[in-house]
Amino acid sequence: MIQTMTNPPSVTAVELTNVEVTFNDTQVLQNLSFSLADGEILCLLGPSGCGKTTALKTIAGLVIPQQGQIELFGETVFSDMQGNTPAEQRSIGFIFQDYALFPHMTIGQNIAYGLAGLSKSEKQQRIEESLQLVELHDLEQRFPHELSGGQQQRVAVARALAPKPQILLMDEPFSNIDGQVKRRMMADLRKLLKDHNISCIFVTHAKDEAFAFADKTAVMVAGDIAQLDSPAVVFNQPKNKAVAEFMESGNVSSLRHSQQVLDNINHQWPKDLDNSGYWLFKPQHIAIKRSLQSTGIQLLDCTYIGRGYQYEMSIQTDTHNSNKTIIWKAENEQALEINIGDNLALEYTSTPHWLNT
Amino acid sequence: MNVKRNASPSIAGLLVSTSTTLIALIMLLPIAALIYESIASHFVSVPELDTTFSDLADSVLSHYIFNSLSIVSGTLLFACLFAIAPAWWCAHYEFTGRKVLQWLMIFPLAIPAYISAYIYTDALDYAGPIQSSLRQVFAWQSPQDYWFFDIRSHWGASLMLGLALYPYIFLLLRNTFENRSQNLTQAAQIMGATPRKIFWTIHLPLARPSLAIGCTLVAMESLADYGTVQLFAISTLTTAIYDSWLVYGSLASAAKISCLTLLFVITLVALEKNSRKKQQHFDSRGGKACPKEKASNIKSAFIWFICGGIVCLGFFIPLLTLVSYCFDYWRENMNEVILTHSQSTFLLAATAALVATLLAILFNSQQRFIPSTKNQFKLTLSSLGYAIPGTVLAIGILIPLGQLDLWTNQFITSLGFEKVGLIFSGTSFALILAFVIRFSAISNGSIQAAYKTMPPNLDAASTMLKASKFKTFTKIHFPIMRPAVITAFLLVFIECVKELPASLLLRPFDFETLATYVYQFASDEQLEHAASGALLIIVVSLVPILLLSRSQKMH
Repeated sequence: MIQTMTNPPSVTAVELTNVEVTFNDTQVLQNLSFSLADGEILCLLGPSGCGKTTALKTIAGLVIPQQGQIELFGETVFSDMQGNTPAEQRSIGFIFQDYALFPHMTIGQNIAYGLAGLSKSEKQQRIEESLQLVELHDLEQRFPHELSGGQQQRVAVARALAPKPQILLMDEPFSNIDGQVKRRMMADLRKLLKDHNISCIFVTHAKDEAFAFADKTAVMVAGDIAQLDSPAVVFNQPKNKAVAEFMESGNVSSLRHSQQVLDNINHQWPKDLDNSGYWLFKPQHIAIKRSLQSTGIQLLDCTYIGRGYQYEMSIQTDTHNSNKTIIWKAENEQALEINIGDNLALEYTSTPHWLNT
Repeated sequence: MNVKRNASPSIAGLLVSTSTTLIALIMLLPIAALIYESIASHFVSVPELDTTFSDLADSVLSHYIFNSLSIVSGTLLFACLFAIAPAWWCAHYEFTGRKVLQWLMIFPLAIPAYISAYIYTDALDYAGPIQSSLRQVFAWQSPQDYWFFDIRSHWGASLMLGLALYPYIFLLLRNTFENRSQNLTQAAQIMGATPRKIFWTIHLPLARPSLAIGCTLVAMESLADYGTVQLFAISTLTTAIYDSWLVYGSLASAAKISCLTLLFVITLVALEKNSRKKQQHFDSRGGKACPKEKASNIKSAFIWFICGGIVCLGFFIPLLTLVSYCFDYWRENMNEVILTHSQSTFLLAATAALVATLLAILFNSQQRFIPSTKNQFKLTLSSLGYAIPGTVLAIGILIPLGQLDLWTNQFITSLGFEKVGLIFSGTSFALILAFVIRFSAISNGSIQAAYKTMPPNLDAASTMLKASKFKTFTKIHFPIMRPAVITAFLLVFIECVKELPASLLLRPFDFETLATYVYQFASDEQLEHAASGALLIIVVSLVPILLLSRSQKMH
């Protein structure tokens, strides 16, 4: 089996300090700083154009930053003072979104490509090990176009891991694979990385991939990391409005709107905060029932979401003499006997989460 | 891992960069020499003694410009007419004999336009067999009794050039249409688009880069044509340059008109670049190519009728006429001289094609690995030669090479040795240099198109697998673009075999290429006596075309 370099626990595999990247006067990465421990899997999550792929390519050495410092296992590979280590000299495996398999080479030749310096028999052994690792041992002589999307992805994994990299970087590796296959592949790949203690950073815009695959999740907004923590913490306790909205953690409302809404429902939380900032209301903590009186809250839609039902409602607010409608979501395990257009009464059964601006 | 302090370019990188700069400057040398000549003539020579240009400018220059533009537009019109629909039919439909037909459609590339022009003039003139037969059948007595298409006209010249040049557009477009994405077609179908709408709104706009390259090649070729327009007595900028130098002996005037011609060419290139600027198409693994639609019998017959007609006009009629000339004048056509000329032509063309292809690979891979405005500029400079009409290029080459010969001989004699003669301007070196400068645009276009369809992630993947740039080139780029390299070589080879004006001026003493040999007979209205030579040009040009069809099939 493939043996990858193992390092003592708590070694920092990747460390970025104040990295800045600018393309044509547009700052794509702004003072990007984070670190990743050896053997950990980090997901860079964020909307399109937030700079996550650029961050990945910067770590790989395919994009050279204007400022900052990048260290891999304690060794500086980029520093604005010292210079840059070329991509081919960093011990990094990279899986591209389109896999970038060389179309004119067989699967075996694709894997052997990165094994310069080994004897022919060593190369063959490594090819066989790599293909066994991804369970494609009988496809060595095939060409990439003869494989399915899932098989191509596994070849890309085998090719990236064959040279025994210390770090694996993946750019939206699961975006071209669907459903059941995707879940199984994520589980297999995660096990593989953990078994061989390979540090990994992968980029995606899909939350479910971060939840299923990563130890830590970093949500990127406008070229910087807004929050880095375990997926559960990022989802349940988003640090700010941008993270909460991207993660779809719940209903985000400004303090003014929230107070006005909450005046009408059962609440037990301090209201003496200033007017800046936001509350996050978890849909599963909102209890709704039909009201015979006009409450200014109306049911807009009801959707079955597997774990229960999601109810979307409009809430009329009146702030500084201007009317505004906000949309909230509530969740309930059982279907409620309410119809679209009905007036609703709300009850919040927990303490909302406070968000910074 | 070592951090490279203030990373500087490698020695190999520096060597490549310096070589490409030097080569680009050499490619620019003829233009620089012409500009220098046209400016210096104001100061060095006595203007009163050389009034050729001012006389031309006062009288017929505008007429020459109009004629040139008219020929270019007409040729483009005919070339598009002959190429676009057949390229679509061959790529979109499956019908009996499709492979043979798409193969035949390239054949006219083997026939120089001036040979077709001579043959059609012979056939369609007042005294030719067609008009004579018509007069006999309908009892017409004089030209006033009927109307007949005048082949010796702008339309006639454009038709001849269009027939000879349309395969450039056909080849590029058919390739693009063949690889069109099935997903796009299906997406358009789902949105209710008819096949006609899908062609006009999806496939043709997506093929615009190929169409633009093809049209630019055709436009430049027609602007540079000398043989056809001279035969039809149409005065264009090219013939004006030729006459200025060979008839009036004014190199300065020839240089000035050349500079004017270059302006038109620069405009053409700029238009082509601009039309492609916002369109980048990467042939990623996403979309499968569309399967071919089975054509009905009527449709197949219609396609064969139209395409077969084009091939007959562009290839078989001139070919059969030449064959009949060979039989009629077999004694004049069968001699060893032709064999000698064909060998020398083949060797020259192969050498020039090899050099041009290697340079195209060098310039394009440099731009791929280190994309920069400077490298793009060098690439553009190396393609400029195609814009220079052969006659002008020859003069532009003779000026610096003549000077180089002079310096060399002075240096040799200063060392006490005997003069070595015209070792640069008087040998095949000048001719090969002219061919390389003239036809590098073709090889550049082919390699550039191959690089454009290669996803950039392949390079990044190779880099991440610790491959050097050299390994990335030899193991990834070159194998993928091998068909394009073969195409580049063959296209340049064909052009070199057919090239006429530069060969006429630059051939060494007592040296003939097949083209110069045939043209001399054609201009004396005795093509019949050199028909075997013309047939050899066609055969030599056909061999690469057959290989081209095969390499495309393999691709």
